[in-house]
Amino acid sequence: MKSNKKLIQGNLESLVLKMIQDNGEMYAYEIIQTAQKITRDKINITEGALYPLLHKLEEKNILKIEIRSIGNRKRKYYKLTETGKKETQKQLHALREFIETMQIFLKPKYKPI
Amino acid sequence: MKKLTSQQINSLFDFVKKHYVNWYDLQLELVDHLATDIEKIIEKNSQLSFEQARDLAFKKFGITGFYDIIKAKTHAMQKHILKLLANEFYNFFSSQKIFGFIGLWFLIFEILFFTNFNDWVFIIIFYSPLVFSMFYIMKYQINKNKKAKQNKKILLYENVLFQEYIIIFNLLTQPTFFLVSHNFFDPEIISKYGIIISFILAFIYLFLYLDIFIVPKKLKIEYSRIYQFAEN
Repeated sequence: MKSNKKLIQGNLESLVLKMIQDNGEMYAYEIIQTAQKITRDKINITEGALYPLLHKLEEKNILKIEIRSIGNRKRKYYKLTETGKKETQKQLHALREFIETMQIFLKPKYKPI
Repeated sequence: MKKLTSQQINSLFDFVKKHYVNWYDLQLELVDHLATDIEKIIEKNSQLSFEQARDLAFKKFGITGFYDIIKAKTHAMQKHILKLLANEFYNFFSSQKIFGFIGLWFLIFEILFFTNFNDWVFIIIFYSPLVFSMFYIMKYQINKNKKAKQNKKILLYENVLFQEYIIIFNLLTQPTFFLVSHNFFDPEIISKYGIIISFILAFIYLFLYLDIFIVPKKLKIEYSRIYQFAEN
């Protein structure tokens, strides 16, 4: 079963930043493939959602780019800037807190009123 | 995994150009994306031709194709240019250069004052930025056309800057009709609001200087540093 699209859309930025943080640098196609692979196809990031996000993060100075030659073509790699590293920590902290809060509702220890 | 040939890569550049991706920075990324996907598709199904695999890879971009990506990238670039411009204004006014601006402001006022707020002098001072920006728009477009004809790579920022120049040109020409209809070029009116008018003119001059000379220079340095390697 595919995960809820709205939940993924809402957290796409944090997911992408976390993947780039873990890998040091990534190119767009690699981000899509990695997300599919590690979640066993539960998270499918579309090209139409990923590229605008990457370009927005680049403009905000959260990501920086580097062009490298790969055989007979060039490849654009995305890396976190110093601002990006701080922003990733901030977003992941907020996401963890949110998940913990959600656990209260999903596994209630209290008796329903 | 079988890698695509240089000829196939070139045909992918033509493919993205046909889908309205006219800027090298965006072409480079999308061509690599399509190429990587085509190689994976052919690896899974070797019966497919390059063209069939290319169409399957392109299908993943949805019914709008590259349109949403172009739109989002253009929007991001517009914001980047505006931020650069705002930053240049901040740097200008927070340094000693502010005295240059004050000097220009009073110079314009003095010229108006010593010519008894002559309407023709005012018209020349008022419209010279307009002629100046028109000249630049034309020069910019000619250079862009030349680059396109010589098959040279054009980056997205060059296109966004051109669009921005057209907006500025319109913003400077639009008030003309209002000013003429309100008899604004009357020396009496010019003398009454002389200080404010000189300030507005000095501000327009500074804006054009930063927007036409400084910002494009900074963008050129920034992007040639990134894409210089890609040119090799």
